[in-house]
Amino acid sequence: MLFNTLEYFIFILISFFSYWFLIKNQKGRNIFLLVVSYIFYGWWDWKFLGLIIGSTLLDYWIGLKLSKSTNEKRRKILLFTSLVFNLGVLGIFKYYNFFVDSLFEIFPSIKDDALLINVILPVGISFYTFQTLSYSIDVYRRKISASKDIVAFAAFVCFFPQLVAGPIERAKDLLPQFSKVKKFASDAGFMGMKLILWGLFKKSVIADNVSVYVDKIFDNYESFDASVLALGTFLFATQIYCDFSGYSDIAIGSAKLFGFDLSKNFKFPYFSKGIAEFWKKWHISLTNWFKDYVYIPLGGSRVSVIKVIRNTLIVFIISGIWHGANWTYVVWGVMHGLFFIPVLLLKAYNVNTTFLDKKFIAPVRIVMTFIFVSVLWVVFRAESIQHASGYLNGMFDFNTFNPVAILKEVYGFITWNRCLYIFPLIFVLYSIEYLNKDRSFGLDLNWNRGLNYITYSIVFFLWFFFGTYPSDDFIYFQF
Amino acid sequence: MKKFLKYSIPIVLIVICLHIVAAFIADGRFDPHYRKFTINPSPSLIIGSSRANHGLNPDYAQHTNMVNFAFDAFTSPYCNEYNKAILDFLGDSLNEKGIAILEINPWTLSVEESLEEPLIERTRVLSENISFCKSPNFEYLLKQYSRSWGSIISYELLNKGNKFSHLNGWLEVDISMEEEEIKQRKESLIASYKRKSKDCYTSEYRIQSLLDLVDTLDNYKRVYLVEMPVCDELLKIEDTFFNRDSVYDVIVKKAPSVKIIKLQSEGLRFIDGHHIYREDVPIISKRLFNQIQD
Repeated sequence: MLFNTLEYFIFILISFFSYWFLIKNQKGRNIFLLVVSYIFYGWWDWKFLGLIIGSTLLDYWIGLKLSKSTNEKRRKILLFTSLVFNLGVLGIFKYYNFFVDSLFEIFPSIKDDALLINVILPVGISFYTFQTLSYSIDVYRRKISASKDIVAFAAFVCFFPQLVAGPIERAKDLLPQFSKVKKFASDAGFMGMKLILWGLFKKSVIADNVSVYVDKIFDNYESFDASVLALGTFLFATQIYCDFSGYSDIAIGSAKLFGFDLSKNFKFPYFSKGIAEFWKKWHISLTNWFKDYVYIPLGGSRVSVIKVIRNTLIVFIISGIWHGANWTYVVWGVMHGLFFIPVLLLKAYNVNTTFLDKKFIAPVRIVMTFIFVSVLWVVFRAESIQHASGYLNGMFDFNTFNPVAILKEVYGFITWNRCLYIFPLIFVLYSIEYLNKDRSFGLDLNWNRGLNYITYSIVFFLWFFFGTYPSDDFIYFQF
Repeated sequence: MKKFLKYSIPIVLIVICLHIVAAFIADGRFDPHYRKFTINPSPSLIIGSSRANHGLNPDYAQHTNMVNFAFDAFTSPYCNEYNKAILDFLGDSLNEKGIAILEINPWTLSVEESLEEPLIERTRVLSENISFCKSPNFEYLLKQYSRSWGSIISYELLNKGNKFSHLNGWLEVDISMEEEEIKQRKESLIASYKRKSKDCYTSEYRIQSLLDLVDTLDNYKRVYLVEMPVCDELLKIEDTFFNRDSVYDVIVKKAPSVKIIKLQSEGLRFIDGHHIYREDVPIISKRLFNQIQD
């Protein structure tokens, strides 16, 4: 069930009223949330439920055993079991064929299609696997105590707003919320509605409309000039941001309607003044996960320079491959890592120190960072390394650089494909986000009341008239 | 909660009302297929791809009520799903005397090798088992319409878009006939069909589906297989993977009662190389229906 469908609208409407009006105690509400979350997930394919229930039961049991045991060796075995199961499931479903295929490419003589397996990647497996893993690790590290409430724990693992594409929640933040008796807060409800509206605008109005033209440009990149390829890059950067952050907004908003606070996943990343700042603002829950469970255990930045470089590259490579079983994701991760290392070593995080920096250099840095990140998105979007290099070669072919010809080309593409209407919509998006970049999200308006209502109405009608419904899945569902 | 409900219930009601209004406004402009799911059947009908959908207006059929139930090559190649949809659509009209015009072309009788499962169509329009003859057809809108329902209102009220599906099922396409634009459209079509043709092969499954359909319709209706004209360049591409004579021989041998009509392109303008310009639709429609009368 996708967030931007009428099915979800009906689902959340019924769930909301049942949750607050029919069930009065928290235990009953948790059971209800568990059931509707399984319905939500099973809507894709009920067979996926077996895996998530298996993972939930195992980690619940391991958590209990870890909390009771004082024998370090036994505790390590228990943690190891959780790691092997969760990473094993992820490995088989997501990476097995990729590694076998890669082996075949290196050693063509051993190629045998019988070694490949025919499995469908369960939706959101990378997200809930990481969530359950972090629970086991935190219990092992004695940072949290094990849950003794199987219903609350299962609801924590499969809580429908964040089940299939995050934010990846930590047990210490989300699990206690299932124990608290909930009282509906109108302000949280309004905030939830605004988040959902803004998320729908980003996903249905921007991302899905833009995706048609992105696909057209990326699929036929050989027939376009550098200028159109640059346009494709800009549009994809916009698409992936709106797609994923739009999803996160709807997820956080939906959770608020049920009295839950999910962690923030995006903080206007395209207004970052450097790559380090970008990674603090993009997919925050994943970045923090890697920091806490990979980077710091490897020694973090309190080790020798060589080891800092190693640790950083490891995190970015894993982060790349987490996104998908393709070498393009690995290269994308490595490239980000390579550009991140100098920032880390020089500790060049804070750039807004002087008046000059704030007023003149900061905007330039924002634009430069956006261009840099967007160019790397090409590698991320490409179907293969060859595709990415062909696209980038075409985009950076300045041999025939001629500003008039560039404008003509872009104008030709826009008029031929009738996509002029997209640009005012993108302008509305970035304007609202920029004006509210110090708020919690784009539509968290702090203007006068009348202006706020006018803006909400405009966004609502833009969604109603320009949005799309059961379009492509959210990009991040595949990860 | 009261404060929240006071504001949110009107918003929810507005959303619901807007969707209901949109559904009732839905007509032939916002989606090229929607009309096929709302119109009533007739004893006579036109079946096939977009060539027939754009090119044949049933209003020119004399002495019979006819509807155009052709979609496009992706949605309605000859296959079990399309056959089932035709029977569902016809309902009791299946057993009434009439004429069935089955437009045939290489693309609707072949499959693409690259498709992992070539017999499963890329589109879900006909495989979703959506009910026919319902207006408004909420089932279609919920399952098939991929844009917001607000766009229905803007399409229908502002006359947006260049396609209009008439009450008889004919899809009228109003498009610029500037020479340069026709050239661009044709070049793009030829390039894409050239690419596609490398991957296509004549399909026994599709031919058998066509024969099954002929067999079903033949009981009560006169069945004609019609080949629409296309430009020479496209014809050459089609000849690379589809041997017309041998396929038609097979069809005629297995269904001797059907007549194959090859329509000629004289006096017709194409918008892109194989879709006939709307102003020339009367010419080709009359040409066909005159031959049928003869």
